[in-house]
Amino acid sequence: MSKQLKESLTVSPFFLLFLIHSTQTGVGLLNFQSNIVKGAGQDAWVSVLLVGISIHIIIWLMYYLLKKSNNGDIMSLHQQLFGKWIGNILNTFFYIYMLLVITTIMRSYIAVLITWVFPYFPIWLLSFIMLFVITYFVIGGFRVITGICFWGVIIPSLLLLTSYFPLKYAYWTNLLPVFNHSISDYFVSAKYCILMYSGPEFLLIYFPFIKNNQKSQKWAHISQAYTIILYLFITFVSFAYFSHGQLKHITWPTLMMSKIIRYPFIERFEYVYIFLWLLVILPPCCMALWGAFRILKESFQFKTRKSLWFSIIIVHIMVISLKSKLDVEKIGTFMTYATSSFLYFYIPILFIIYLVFQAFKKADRLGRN
Amino acid sequence: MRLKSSERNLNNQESEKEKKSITSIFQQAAKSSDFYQFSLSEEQDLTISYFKSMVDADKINNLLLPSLQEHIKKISTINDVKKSIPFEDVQFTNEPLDIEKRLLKGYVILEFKYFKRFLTISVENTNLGYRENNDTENEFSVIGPKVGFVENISTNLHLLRKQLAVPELVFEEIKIGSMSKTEVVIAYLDGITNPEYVQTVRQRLEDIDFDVIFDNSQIDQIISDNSNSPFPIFLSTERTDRVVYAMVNGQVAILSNGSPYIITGPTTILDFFISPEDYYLNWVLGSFFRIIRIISVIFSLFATPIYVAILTYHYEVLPDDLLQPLISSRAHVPFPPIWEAIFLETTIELLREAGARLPTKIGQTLGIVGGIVIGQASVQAALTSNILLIIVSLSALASFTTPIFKMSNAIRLLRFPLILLAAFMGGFGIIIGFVLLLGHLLKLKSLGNPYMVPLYPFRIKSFSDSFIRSSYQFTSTRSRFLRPLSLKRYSPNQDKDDRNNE
Amino acid sequence: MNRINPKNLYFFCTFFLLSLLISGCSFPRQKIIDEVQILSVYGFDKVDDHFVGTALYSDFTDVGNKGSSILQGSGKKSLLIKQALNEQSPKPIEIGKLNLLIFGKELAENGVSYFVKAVCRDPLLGSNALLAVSEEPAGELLKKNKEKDSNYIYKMVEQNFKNQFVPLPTFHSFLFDYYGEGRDASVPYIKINQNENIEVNGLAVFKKDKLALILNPKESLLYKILRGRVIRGQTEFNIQKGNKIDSAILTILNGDEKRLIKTNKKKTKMKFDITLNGMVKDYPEWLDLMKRKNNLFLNNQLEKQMKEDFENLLLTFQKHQVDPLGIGDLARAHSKKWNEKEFYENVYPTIKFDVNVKVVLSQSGIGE
Repeated sequence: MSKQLKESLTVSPFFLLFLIHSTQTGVGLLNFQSNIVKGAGQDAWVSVLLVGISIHIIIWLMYYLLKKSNNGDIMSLHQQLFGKWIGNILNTFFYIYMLLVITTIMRSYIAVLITWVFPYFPIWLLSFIMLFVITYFVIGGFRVITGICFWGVIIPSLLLLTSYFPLKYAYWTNLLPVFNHSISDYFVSAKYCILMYSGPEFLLIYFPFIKNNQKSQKWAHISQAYTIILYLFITFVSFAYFSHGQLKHITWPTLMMSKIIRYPFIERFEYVYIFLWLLVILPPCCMALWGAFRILKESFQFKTRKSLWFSIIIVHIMVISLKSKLDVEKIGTFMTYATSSFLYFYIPILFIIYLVFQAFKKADRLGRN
Repeated sequence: MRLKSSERNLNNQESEKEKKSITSIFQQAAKSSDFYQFSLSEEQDLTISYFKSMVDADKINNLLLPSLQEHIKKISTINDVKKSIPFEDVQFTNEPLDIEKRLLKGYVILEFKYFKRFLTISVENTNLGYRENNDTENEFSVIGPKVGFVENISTNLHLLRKQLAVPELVFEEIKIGSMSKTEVVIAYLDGITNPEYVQTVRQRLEDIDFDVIFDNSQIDQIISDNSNSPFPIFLSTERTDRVVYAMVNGQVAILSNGSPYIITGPTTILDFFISPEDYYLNWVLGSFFRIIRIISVIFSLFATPIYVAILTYHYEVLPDDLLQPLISSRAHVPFPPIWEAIFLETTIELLREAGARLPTKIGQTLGIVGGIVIGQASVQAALTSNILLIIVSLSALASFTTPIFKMSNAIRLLRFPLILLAAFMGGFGIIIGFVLLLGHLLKLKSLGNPYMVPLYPFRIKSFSDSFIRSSYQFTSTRSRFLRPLSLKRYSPNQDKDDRNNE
Repeated sequence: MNRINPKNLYFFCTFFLLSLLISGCSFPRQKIIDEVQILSVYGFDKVDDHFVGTALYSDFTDVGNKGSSILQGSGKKSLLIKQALNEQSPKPIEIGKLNLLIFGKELAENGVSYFVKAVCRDPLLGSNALLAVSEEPAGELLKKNKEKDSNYIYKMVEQNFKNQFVPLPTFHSFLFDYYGEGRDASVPYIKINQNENIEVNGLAVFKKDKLALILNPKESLLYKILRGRVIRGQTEFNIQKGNKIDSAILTILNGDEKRLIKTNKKKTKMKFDITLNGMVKDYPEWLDLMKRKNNLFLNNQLEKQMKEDFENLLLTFQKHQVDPLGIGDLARAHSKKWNEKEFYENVYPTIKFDVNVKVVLSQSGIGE
């Protein structure tokens, strides 16, 4: 039962801080405000907080399962619980989920690029270029992906300093009155929050690549806590910056907010935001692609290169087949359901099945004795 | 493949040579005009043979010949000869192969026909063909020693041993080059340098199969972890203080005979932006200059691409007041910004290259005249805008602040793909280029050590000597990422009490 | 050890060549700065059933050209107007660096919602661009600017925002108020004066998307103070002592504004606490400010007058059913349930205003 790979492949548990946080942030950070406001209005930050806390529980469940699985990842856990055949079918679903994650993130980012900067740029070319970059990182292996996760947190964090500008125009009364929404409103907001918190599920794949992974749980929770704080901060800033009612009319509030930033040498800061955002979306894309071929490798013993090319081509086709803005919205909605059912439904069920499985095994052993 | 087969040929030749007699060796040598062979006396049949171009003629005339003539009558056994000759390296041999090798290395061969023995005496003139002057020529600094390495390896070893007067300093010699048989020395501090690095270097050097090693930088390329990278994997320097500092920190140095440059490794990217001068100045100033240098690298990489991107795609970014000068300076330029930028960048590269090839004095004149005249003329001829001229020449200037020549070359090269990407996709192209560069740097390793350390993997404790050069109080330990066997370098001074303030 | 992976090298080379090739015939439409026409001011008017757009730009490629050029086109949609402008222009029209958007008064009275949707929300425009309403049709106004720099009006409005009576006139603040619940938008009002020069002459207040009220400069300053944030500017006031009447100038250096809303069962009370730091200049000679008594008297007069002015302004807003101060928003923030329509129909007209003004005078009389 070696749950950890040889040391030269692993990264120190400290990097979980960046791995989890950077895979959570993505294009969702550009537009979640205008979605969550649809439910609980100015109180939607409560949903952001609550969903964040619930993810803590999910991470705890994941850790419990991962510690008990044979190879320390979900592929072996599936095979362990359901046998080889059903386990591999479940792994295939997980593989498709990974590809959908890349597709959604890439297509949403391309939508931003096309709307804001390059209206005449063909989608296939943008997709090709981005996939080239993603593949370049993924070929480097897990340590290089950890590297981009690290830089994907550090460099965009500099953008946080620019929140000084929107704060100059903040009306804090926009956040009042507190708690005047019904529970169902909070749920609507929470539904839109889930997608931007998705990311810890990659832990199910890269867990064996963490050094001392049995004791690394602390870092995962610290990372999740940081994500919550960051999201709450952005939520508060944008609620204070945009008036009540204005948010509904804006597709990408974070970018809209960055328009107010103005330096003597650079008048329109949103371009810096849009381009630097590539560093924010790269980590989840790289991680998902890496996870995808890792699933193929672990469960079907496919060759790395071949499964990588296979996955890339599928993603490219999916991205270019999403032509209109409506398609992007549709796949976003679909991913919301997919992620929420995966995180809140599948993992607890897996947990219960594991407990039942364990109980049976115990009973079996006792019976035999 | 071709190399290996040629080696096989050589091996074959050698085995043939074994069969060769010593006379045939002398016959072959006699074809050269610098081969001298003569007898001193008839009765003892003593023949002396050597290559005049390799030996120290003074030593032969003033020491060897007189002592031979003096003692020649008294010789009864062959060992007497050895005693009577005032040289340290005197050996007997009858092996034709040995004799040939030593003859070519500058030994004098004495043939005693009476004893049927050959005596080889080392009178090699090691200084012949080397320059005397050992000032640093390319890595200049205002403060600090100006002693540099020279082509002669024994001088270089001497320089190292003079500064590191500890028995732990180890020189390991390896011969490389199937034809040149160059002496290559691995130098490290035993008990400090991680033996893994020494082992890696030793292994890689031993694996080298090459004909002639002209310069250390060839070894650098051959043993580097990734030879497709524009970045230098090893730091090559001609400054003694740099090498000593690297070794003290637990790096391995590789010297090779005939090269004034010494390479050290494993390196990290920040090592290339460190100048020894940083350590000779007060830490505040040292840090300031180091930060200036790092900023100038970023500027040099991205200034022209950003110009191209903004002027081609993102005019919105420009402030109102900049719009007018930019537009009016570009108004009569017939090319798009990309061609304008490529044209100017190439011009600067031409000037640099021409300056490097020409003798120093002419080169400087050319630099100034070419820079001013071509710059002015091309602006007046509306080939480029004068704002771009400022940007390009500033970024060229900025790229020269990098202390290591190879690194500044890499930076100047990387500008071109970035400019192309900027012309292709504007700011998005620049960020794509930046991300690819980042990925490349993340993948790079020097002797198996990550190249980006301490930035990634993140080592907060090593930041005291990275972007800044903090006070000597905080740099008393070696960098942990080099995994040295002992971390402590020295005990830092305590703060001096201010007595007046008590 | 020389590990050249030929596959990698090949891949790299093809990518490099590809990028070279593509940069030759690049896909996105290039917008090289000297090959586009960068508009600085865009004005819209309504003529009969279609719109007329007037654009102002400076042609920097011609060094000798000091003034600005004008393009005018009409159409039913903003894109058609742009197309009409393009038809007259040697270079493609780009609106990315638009600094000022002007609506003609007639258009503003008829509603600007179409342009807010089609132009103001265009991601190409910056949030720091300004908006204004002109008394004359925007086209006529812009034609007066022909001799001057194309950014002249923009700089004029901005200067008046920084130092005078104009409240924050940016796109962001306009959209904030326009879309905000319980808020109405307000933008600077510009016109051509008797000397045929362009000047800022007050503030245009919208109700929803229609122009409803025009404030004069003095009211505009009072409004700026009530709005808080940037409190600066100067205003004239009367001094009456005995039978002597004269006026003086109050220069406001900075200030502080606090709002409080109280809702009882039927009555809603709104309280403003305003502190102004400033100095009085140009006061009549018969008032000796070196005397403490006179100083107090001046302060009292000032506070009384200001309070009256403020309350009158608030009543004007109430009368015209406009809410540029965001009182509705404040009410929303302090009540659990709030309905915009109901508030403006029933509550807003009955709100009682109470303005407390405190003027702190300093350095009065300096400069004599």
